[in-house]
Amino acid sequence: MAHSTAEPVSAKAAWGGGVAPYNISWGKMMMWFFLVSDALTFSSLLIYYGASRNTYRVAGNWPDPDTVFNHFPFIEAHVPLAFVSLMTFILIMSSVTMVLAVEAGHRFDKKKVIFWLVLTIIGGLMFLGSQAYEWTAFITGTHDGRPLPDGSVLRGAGLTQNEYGHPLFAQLFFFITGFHGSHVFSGVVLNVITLIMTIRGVFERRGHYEFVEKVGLYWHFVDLVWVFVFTFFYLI
Amino acid sequence: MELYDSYHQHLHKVGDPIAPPKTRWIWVVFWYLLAVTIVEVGLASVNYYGKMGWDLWLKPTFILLTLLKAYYIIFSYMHLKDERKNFKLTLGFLIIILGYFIMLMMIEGYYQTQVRMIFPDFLKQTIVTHH
Repeated sequence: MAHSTAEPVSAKAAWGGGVAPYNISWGKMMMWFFLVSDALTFSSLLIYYGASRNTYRVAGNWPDPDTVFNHFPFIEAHVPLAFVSLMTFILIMSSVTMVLAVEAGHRFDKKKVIFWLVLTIIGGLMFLGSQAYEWTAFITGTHDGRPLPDGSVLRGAGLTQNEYGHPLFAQLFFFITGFHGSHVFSGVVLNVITLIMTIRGVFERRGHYEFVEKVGLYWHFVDLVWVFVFTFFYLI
Repeated sequence: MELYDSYHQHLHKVGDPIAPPKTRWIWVVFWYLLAVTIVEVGLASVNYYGKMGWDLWLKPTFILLTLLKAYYIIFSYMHLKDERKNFKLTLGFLIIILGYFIMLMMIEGYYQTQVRMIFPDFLKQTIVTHH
């Protein structure tokens, strides 16, 4: 938030070179631009999901997400939405710990930054584990499976065949949640790097914790994408 | 590095006193986000278990609630509300492209649906494409 305390500069001075535009550091600005372009990528995937769902909903075999994603670890009952709600909660929680780490960085409170970053990493790993469970349940399929005309039984979902309905549903599920999961994974890696740099006192010597803020921006974006994936894949 | 550091007006030195935390707003926003999520899951569950058939108005409600959550995350947690107005507009203009894309895909999806209803043979696309 250092930029909010900066003195106003005249337009000519601001755009004449030598100063960062918008009173925001280059690193943060480029992170924002990257996030916008990434948002466009995710949006096009989700919009294509919506279009194909609309295409196969009326005269096709588009599965109902409530009957597909109804597994929960260690219990037999079918509970739609329960597990993804838990995943959403984990990711929101890790977003909170990240923003707390950024806040601690503003106050140069090194111990608190380390504490909240560790919790953020744990949250990210928990989310990745949940996603692995979700994928396993989807790939394994139901016990009964779907009987095929030639007498065989189709169980689970893959890229070319899907027990629950149209294969495109499975393809888009793997692509979108996989793309998001790889973002979460990179976020965890970035958080680990930040944690190591914090422990080694790099930011303390540098005099500011802006690196934490930039990684935080990325992490919040990953949470933001999940909010949309949650709505369009599971709720609607 | 100098240019970069010029935006940190008060460079901190090792050993300087640490200010007390101001985390109230973070938790307030967290409760907002949690409340909206619980409302979403609650509505979806009532609709599913009660077989209410609320789909028609529930879908736009979910999208609006999602945009509300996105607003809280972007403006509060990502500090966009502290940035300059021109910066917000710069990012906003890029997102406008999406509106155009959504319209295109809605038209295309509607067309595809119509084709499949008028020409049912088109539907010979089976559950298993490659066996």
